[in-house]
Amino acid sequence: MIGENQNIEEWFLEQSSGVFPNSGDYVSKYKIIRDYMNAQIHSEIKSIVVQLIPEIYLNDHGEKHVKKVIEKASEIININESILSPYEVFFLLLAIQIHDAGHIINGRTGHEQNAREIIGKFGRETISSVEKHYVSSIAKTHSGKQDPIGNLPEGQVVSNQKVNLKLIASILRLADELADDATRASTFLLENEKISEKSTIYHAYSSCLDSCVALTGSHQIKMNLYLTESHLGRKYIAESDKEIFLLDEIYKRNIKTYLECLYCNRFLPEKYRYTTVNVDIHIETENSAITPNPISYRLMENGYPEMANKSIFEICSEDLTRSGENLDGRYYCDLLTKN
Amino acid sequence: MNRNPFEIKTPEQNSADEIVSLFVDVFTDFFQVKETNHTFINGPRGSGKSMMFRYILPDCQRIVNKCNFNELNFFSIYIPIKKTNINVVDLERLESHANTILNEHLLVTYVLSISFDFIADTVSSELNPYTREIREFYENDFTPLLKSIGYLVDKLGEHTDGLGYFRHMAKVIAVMYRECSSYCKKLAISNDLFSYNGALVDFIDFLLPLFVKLERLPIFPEGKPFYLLFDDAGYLNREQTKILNTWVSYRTTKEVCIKISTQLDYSTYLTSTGKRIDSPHDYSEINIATKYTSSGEDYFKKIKMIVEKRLQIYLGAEINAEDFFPHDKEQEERIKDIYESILESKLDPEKKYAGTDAARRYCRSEFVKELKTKRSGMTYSYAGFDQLVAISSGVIRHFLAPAQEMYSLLQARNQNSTINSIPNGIQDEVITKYSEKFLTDEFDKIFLDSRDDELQLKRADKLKNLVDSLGQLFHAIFVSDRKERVVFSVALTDKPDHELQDVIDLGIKYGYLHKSTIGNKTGTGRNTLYILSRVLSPFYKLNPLSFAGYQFMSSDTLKVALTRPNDFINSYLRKLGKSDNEDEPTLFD
Repeated sequence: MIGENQNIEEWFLEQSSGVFPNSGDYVSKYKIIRDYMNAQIHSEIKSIVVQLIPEIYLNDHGEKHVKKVIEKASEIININESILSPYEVFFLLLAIQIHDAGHIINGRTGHEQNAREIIGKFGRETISSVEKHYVSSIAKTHSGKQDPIGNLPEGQVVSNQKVNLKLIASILRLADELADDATRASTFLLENEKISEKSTIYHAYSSCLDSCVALTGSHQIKMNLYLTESHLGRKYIAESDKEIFLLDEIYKRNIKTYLECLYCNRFLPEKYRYTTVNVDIHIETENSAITPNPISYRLMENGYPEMANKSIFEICSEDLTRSGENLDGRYYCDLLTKN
Repeated sequence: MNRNPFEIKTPEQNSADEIVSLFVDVFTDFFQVKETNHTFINGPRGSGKSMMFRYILPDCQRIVNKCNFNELNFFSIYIPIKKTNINVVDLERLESHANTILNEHLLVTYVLSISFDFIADTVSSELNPYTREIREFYENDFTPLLKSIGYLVDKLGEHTDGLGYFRHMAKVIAVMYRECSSYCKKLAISNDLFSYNGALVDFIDFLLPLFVKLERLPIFPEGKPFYLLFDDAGYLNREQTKILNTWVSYRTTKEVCIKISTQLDYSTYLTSTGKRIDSPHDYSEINIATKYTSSGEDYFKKIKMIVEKRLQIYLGAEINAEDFFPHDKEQEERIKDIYESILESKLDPEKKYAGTDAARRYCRSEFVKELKTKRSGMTYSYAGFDQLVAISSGVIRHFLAPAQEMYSLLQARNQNSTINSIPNGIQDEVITKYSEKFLTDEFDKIFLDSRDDELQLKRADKLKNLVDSLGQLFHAIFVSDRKERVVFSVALTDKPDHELQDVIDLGIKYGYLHKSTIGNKTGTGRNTLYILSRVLSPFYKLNPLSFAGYQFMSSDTLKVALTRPNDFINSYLRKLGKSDNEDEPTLFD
């Protein structure tokens, strides 16, 4: 939590060589990569993506965002409780540094994969092949729904030190999810309608998100959003060119945050699991007819677990459907009749 | 002189034409092998796994389907694990350093270099009409993928043809393999843990995308998967096995389908991600020995077809398998007489089948007892096609290997004369020796394999005692006066402890035992059945034919056989003198 947990980067920079494999100077190694990323990559991402995809104007994916992710990772875990070794923090910090850097290769498409190419540029004196491989493996799990963290190998040992890839990846993923606040939006451009139509909703969402904080003790994520009347009164272009109200987009994103918590919880120790997302949406208005204000709700598991009203065929579609047909009683009955 | 029709060559040594002409379609029994699923094909050595793989390779499939490579339903690539040196002792050192990623790199580069060479060998100069497309693949897919992991390769000259490109790609990948392999070797002899600085690749980001792009080349069937045929995957080390399982856990069958053959020695079904792969969810599974021991008739028909096909191809003769491997006529006549006399003595109008049942069950037992009593020096003959098939115990090689020897022996004795059948004396002589060799030679190999592993050596010792005890027990039952005398299996009434289970597993791995299940005595569940290989029938003087009963036994009782075989046998010999209703009776299958 802000003010309580030590920033993991600051903590890392205080470590002596003795705690790293072969007493290597991993602090210097990290600084070399971080400084290079700041100077050569982070600052260029936005302009490269605009060049590659003119209709997209990304919210911040640069140095500020990286700092924010480090800050959120520091909220999620208390580094002074020995949850990660200094060497594991080296992996975490590097994965945070490169997680969005792949945008510079080919824009948004496959940016998770392209991160590997960025880290590949550093020489062997800075980072070994094995370390590069694991850093890019961790970084690419920050998005995607094909169980990317679950598919990381378990029980890894690098240079005689244990490296818990799943734990590191889950911290990165959750931190990245929580790092999406107002500091990420291009507020001036937004207010002056200088952002492309297709990107406006992302900046609008970020600009409304005043705070998003991980509260370790109560296992909660607390989100505060501030909307104006103008936000309420218009629709925005969202994915697939559909029009959507910002409030509906917020609901969608809150659910995503909650699902990200549940997903990452699988790999986090019990103490650092986040089971509730508490949301307050404040509407800045003098109009007392606009109620409730704030809109407050809580996303949490409640009562007996449900599979979100999905049929078994939707949940296990790969196993229980063939050519779009459900493998239900009728299906087998027809099979029997036909054969 | 005619070629020996039962000659055994490894599938790799046969041309595609030979394979197609010799192959007897077993895919009616093992349809999963050709299906677009990940599949495990388990079976003892010699049970025909490699032959199945050889038959589904593109050169054979092209002949079978009379089509071009790009019209096949899948394009298979043979990945022999036996010949690989990736399972080197040096890799043990990796346990303290990047075990998974270095092993995965070795496995991926091994598979890819073999694949590129395999394609070059199989498609050969037919690649050349597609040189332009192959060059584009090299420059736009292969090279950039390597560049993305920091590995730079040269542009090739304009004169390189399609075949040359494939040879070159195989070499590039082989170099990557060797770099890592020599690193592992250096690591093994060094006191320091130094870094690996070569490029590293894995399945998801390297092998799979390469195959996806490769499939777009017009030489390969459009929209159809590559089948990677891992032969003898039991030779992989545990970490590599977990990595292969991780590949199986990916749903990639539309692009890359993995077929894995094992000699029942696959070390784990865990993945490197900590999950487990399960059948049928992640893969389908075939157990050749179980299939053929539980369905003897199917197996008999398959062997008959194989024999008659080979006789036709090599000798140009239409001969029935039963005529080529005749019985000992005198023996069969005497057994028939005994059968008739039992039938007569047991005739019971109230029980319609009692006579035939008893006659069938006891005639061979009574015949062997008669031989013993007469002390004429005559022994039971194992000649005859049906006996030889039964003895081979569901493993095709156990039929072909002795048949090959019988034919060679006859050829040597009857120079220049046409061979239309194998005399029963030669059949019996060879199969008896084969049975003995199966026991002694195989055990010599096990002891040799285990010489550096004291625990395994002890296990092998116990297995020898177990096999010997069961063989002697089953012989004693065969020549007893019990109701059921043909017993080949032990049905365990409880779960064996680790010590016994490890010994049994070793027996299964080397083909001395097969595993099956049967309903328990109370009908409330199933017991595990361990069947002694019928290859041992001649050695222990057992009847390989007909239905077999099984001996119910507790694990504790069976465990005695591991260390005190004489106590085990003597305790049963005492019981055999008593009634059939002992505490651990035999039953029919």
